[in-house]
Amino acid sequence: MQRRHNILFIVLAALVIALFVCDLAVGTVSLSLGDVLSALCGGDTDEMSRRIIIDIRLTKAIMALAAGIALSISGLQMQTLFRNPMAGPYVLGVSAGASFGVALFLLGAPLIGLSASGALGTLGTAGAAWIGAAAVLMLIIALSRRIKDIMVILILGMMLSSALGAIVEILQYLSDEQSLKSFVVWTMGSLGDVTRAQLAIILPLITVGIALSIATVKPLNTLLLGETYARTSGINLPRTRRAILLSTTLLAGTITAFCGPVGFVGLAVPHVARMLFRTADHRTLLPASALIGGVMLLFGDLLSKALLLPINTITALMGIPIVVYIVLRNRNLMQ
Amino acid sequence: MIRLENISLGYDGRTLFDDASLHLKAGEAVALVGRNGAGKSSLLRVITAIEKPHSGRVLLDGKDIAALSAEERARLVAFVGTERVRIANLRCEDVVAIGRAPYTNWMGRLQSSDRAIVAHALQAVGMLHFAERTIDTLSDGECQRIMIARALAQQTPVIILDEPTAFLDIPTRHQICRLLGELAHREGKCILYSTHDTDAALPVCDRVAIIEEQHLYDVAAKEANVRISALFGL
Repeated sequence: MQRRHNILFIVLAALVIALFVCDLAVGTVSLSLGDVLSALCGGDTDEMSRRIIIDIRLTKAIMALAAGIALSISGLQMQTLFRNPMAGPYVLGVSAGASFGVALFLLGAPLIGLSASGALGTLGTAGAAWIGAAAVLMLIIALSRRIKDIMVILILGMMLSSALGAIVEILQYLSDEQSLKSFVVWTMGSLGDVTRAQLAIILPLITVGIALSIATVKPLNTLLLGETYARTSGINLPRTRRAILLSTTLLAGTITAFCGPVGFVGLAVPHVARMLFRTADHRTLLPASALIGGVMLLFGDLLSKALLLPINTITALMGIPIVVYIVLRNRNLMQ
Repeated sequence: MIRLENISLGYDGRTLFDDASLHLKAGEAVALVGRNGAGKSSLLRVITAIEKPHSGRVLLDGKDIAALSAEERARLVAFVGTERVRIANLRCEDVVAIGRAPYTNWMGRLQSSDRAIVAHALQAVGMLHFAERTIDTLSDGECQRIMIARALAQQTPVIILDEPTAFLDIPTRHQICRLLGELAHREGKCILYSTHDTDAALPVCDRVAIIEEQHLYDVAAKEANVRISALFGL
């Protein structure tokens, strides 16, 4: 078992590195792997290639990797916390919350005569997405304390998503063309619009989110048996819930804030990790999900460049078959 | 080992029981019986501090559980609930290892002593050969044994079980009740479990706690049948 895990970890890490380098080489201007390596190592390349790789593609590739890791870890946490294999940031309305926040900011603010643009606009968008995501998660957690049936919580999460979606539609209907366009572009998701300065905000936030998720592996393992067992095994449940909530907000909220809603990664990747590693132990599943998430989004970014499609479309097309396959293969997935 | 002092409990203006007191000793297996909705599960939830009583206090090993942290409580009392645990990829050994949570470090890393305790717990419920199996492949009775092993691995002087024989077939009900009696006597645990299955429980428990009409009665196992008939008007 341990041997199998080690081999899988090595293969996945190698895949991440290979895809990362490919992601730097592939684009509208095609560059050789030699160019990429010498640009990264400060070797001898022409100025043009160096700037494309370091200034544009490196930021984007780092963003893809970070998004894959963050969304997958967040999905794993949500699935265990809600004891629901179909949970994830997207399904439970976290992305809807983020969209709602952004819609209020991009569409609602101009309606009452306020408008933000430039750096303030980007940070405002991100902040609004965050607050929206955190508010929805808080509501879901509050509901989950009172409602024991996980299916009811899932349905409430979906209804909440739809309700927020409806309000967003009203805002869209009332908005002018320009704000509408900036909102629609945000919803399509993009890894490429992130600047290096933004990356300097995103990476520390995600690092804190990952650190929190690592700190909660033991409570997550006890939560596999349900909250009663977690509590009677000595876990401080309110504190654990807050830590997981904060971690997911930092991870999924931050990525959604800067890249738009990137669906199905958080839902599908933890299942792939369970299938490959055949374990329920979060000490293995957490790094496994992070690596598989990195592979999925780097590969998705390559595909999105090749097919000229938004990343959100690609992750849906990649993630849906994985989820369908796993549900059909493992019929006792639902408890 | 378990001392209930003047416990009152109820919901929505309805009193489940009033001023209930009980004292259970180490090495005793005690069955808790009563009608549906009489408050058996609630009482067990109060003893495990999942629920708070309206008034009164619960002492475990002489300590008031309200004053303890979750981890300190988890070293005094282990709980086996009615929730069915059926998780793919979760090995029995890992389920039992979760019982070590109050003793392991922040990552839950098991020391060799923890592994020995897990193996001993599996052995005690006769499930050592199931260690590598995943829990979703087990029968209800096997699954219940694993959950009892998890409670044993927690190394607490008190173990509380909520209807451990529900969902089980007749032979397995008797086996589980016998196992609980053996564990109490052999390992010196104080074991309290709620059940409707007096046929299986009475011959192998030491005492019976009966909830009826908001009262908690403490009866010797030998007299339990007569008292149950009298109290329930059978």
